[in-house]
Amino acid sequence: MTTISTDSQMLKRTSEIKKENTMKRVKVIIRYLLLSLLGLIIFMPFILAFLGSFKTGAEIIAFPPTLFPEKWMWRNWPDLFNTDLGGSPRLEGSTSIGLIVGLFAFYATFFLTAMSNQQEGKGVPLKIGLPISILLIGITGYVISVYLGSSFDASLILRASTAIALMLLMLIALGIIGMSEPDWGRVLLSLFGSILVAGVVTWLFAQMAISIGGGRFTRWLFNTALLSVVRAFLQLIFCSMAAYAFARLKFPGKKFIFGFMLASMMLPGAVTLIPSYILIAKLGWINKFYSLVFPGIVVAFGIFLLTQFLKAVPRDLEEAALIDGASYFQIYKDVILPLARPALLTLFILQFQAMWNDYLSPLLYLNTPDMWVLNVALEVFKQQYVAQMNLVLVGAIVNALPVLVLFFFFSRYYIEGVSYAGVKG
Amino acid sequence: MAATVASKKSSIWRNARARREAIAAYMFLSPYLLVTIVFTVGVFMFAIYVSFTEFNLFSTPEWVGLKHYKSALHDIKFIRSLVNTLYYAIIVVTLQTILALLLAVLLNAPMRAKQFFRTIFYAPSVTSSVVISFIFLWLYLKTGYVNYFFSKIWSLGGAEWEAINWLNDPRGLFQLILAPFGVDIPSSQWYFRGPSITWMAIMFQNIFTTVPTFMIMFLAALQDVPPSLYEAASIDGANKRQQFFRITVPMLRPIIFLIVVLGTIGTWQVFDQVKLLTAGGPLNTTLTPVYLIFSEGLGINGPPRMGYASSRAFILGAIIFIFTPIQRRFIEQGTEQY
Repeated sequence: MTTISTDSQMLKRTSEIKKENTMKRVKVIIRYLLLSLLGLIIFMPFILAFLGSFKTGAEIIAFPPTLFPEKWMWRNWPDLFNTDLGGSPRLEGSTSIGLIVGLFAFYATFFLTAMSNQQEGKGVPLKIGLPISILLIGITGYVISVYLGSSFDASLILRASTAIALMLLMLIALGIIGMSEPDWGRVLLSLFGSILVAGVVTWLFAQMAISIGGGRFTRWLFNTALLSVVRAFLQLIFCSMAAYAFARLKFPGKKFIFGFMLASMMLPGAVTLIPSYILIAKLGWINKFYSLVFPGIVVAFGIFLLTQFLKAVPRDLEEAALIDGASYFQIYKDVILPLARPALLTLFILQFQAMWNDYLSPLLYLNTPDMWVLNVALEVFKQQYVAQMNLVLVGAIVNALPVLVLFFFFSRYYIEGVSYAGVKG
Repeated sequence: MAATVASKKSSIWRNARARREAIAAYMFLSPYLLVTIVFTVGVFMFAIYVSFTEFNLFSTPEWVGLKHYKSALHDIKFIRSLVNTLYYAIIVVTLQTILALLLAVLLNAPMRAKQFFRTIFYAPSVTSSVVISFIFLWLYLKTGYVNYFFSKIWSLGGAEWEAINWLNDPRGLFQLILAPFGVDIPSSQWYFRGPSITWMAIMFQNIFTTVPTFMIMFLAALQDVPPSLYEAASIDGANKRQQFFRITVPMLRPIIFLIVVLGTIGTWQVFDQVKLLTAGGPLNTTLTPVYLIFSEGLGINGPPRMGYASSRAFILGAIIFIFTPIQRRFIEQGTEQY
């Protein structure tokens, strides 16, 4: 008797558990359905725009709107690249593109070569090495200003401000290498080589920019991609340098500078919008890439992100290296940079996207068709092709695709970065 | 105290290693210092000076004292832009915070395709505001999908939907609500008319792009809520709704606060959508401070008025500054003291 009752109880219980399980399963299915529906709604504008980009100019503004195109106009996409907006490329714009890439090439080559393999050098002492290096940088600055003068009719102030800005950045690189009591023969050789490489790269990219032509869609794509990549790379170098100082080194005034940096992150961009424009105009950098690259070469947000990351990383390795007599630059290059790789990737992706999506600064500073980035060009494109919403949509999608693709591949890094975004403001 | 500070200071100059370290640090910092001294400190100082002058970029700045700040009090356009932004901030911040929190809670449950949905939901936030604006410009056309959608909904109830020109309709929200009662708000009392239809269309677009970012921040914060709290609550018989209001919301209070502050700071700086879609129109109902600063400072409709624009920028900065101490507290919480 008792055994039967327990059996039936058991049966009852298992059926209850089964019921609960099915309830749970139904709940999970409802959740998935709800999420899919939400995803579809959120993605709807993109889907509609993508389908719309294949419609004819008439169908796209017809009522009632259709979901799928009646006639698939594959031609819309290649048509985008045949737009005749703009004019012939201007030399000065192309030169500014070349020099910005050249700056990047200089930093990359110099930092990579100046300190690698500390072998027996030619024994050039500081007394000779430093003056010759500075002379070399001075000559480079002079060559840059002459180059700016010869390749187009640049005003004196543009030539001077650009040459000085580039020379200062080269001197900083020299100073950082010089800190570690290097073999100056090697430094000289590396400096000379880097300037040569940078020169060749500058010339190559200037030629490439000229050959791509002005005002066409390809040129805008080229401008946007170049600006985004180069600026994000330069930010990695300069932000990580500052972050290393903040996270690891002791120096007077550290607390004040760090506090100042945090405060500057909260300064709304609108406050300095107009005076920044005046400054850039006075420097002669309007319609040059310098106007977007130099002020953005290092950002407080990037320094903050990297500093926080580095502070969480143990320092055993560096202490061992310091005892072994490594210089601060060697530690930065051989220990800190490899350690910070995940944070650097996050920063690169976020800053690449920030430049690619930026609208206000390019709108302010770039004003001829051959210098535009996609965001600015699209607006004029819209006015020019006002009756052809389909082409505007193609342009918008082409603009969105690179960032979306990058995002889908590296979404983990984006999302890590956003958890810091609470402080981005 | 003073003696220890002095000895600490002198030790830096006496101790060769400490000195070397300090010099190295400043070497590493020099690019940042260079850029920030010129493009932040210098520009900021210059902005203060310009705001006290009459300046059109080509003339020499002419000192006018507090003129621009005094005129702000009866600058109808500027006040209008502030009122617009106030409407915007209240509506957008409320909706985006609630929606972001709900989405985050929905996504936080243990499930297999979490990564996938998170990625999908986040996509609008990585897309450039220009692209989103153009897509919405098209969706908002009189013959576009939004009107089509409403006409379908209306026809379900047997009514006729009158197509709205979403991006060019100055009728205000309160005006529309009161119209059936025969109340008409005169245009001299525009501030009682409420946000215009166009302004609300832009708000919707903005919410579409900001919700995902805040959702991710909520998701990160939800990881820190101990699951044991929910287990205890469900043993005590609390249902999901009670758990949400009694556990999730209180536990997330600091981050909700932060997101409201961040959202508010963001809404005071709206520019892209206005520049691309409406240029401040219709009837100035979508004018924002940043757009006003941009258009007046660069002289989009007339000579550039840089002194005027700079003074307005500082007033805007002061308004935003009210919120920043709160944001600052959050940053400092995340930063250990040296």
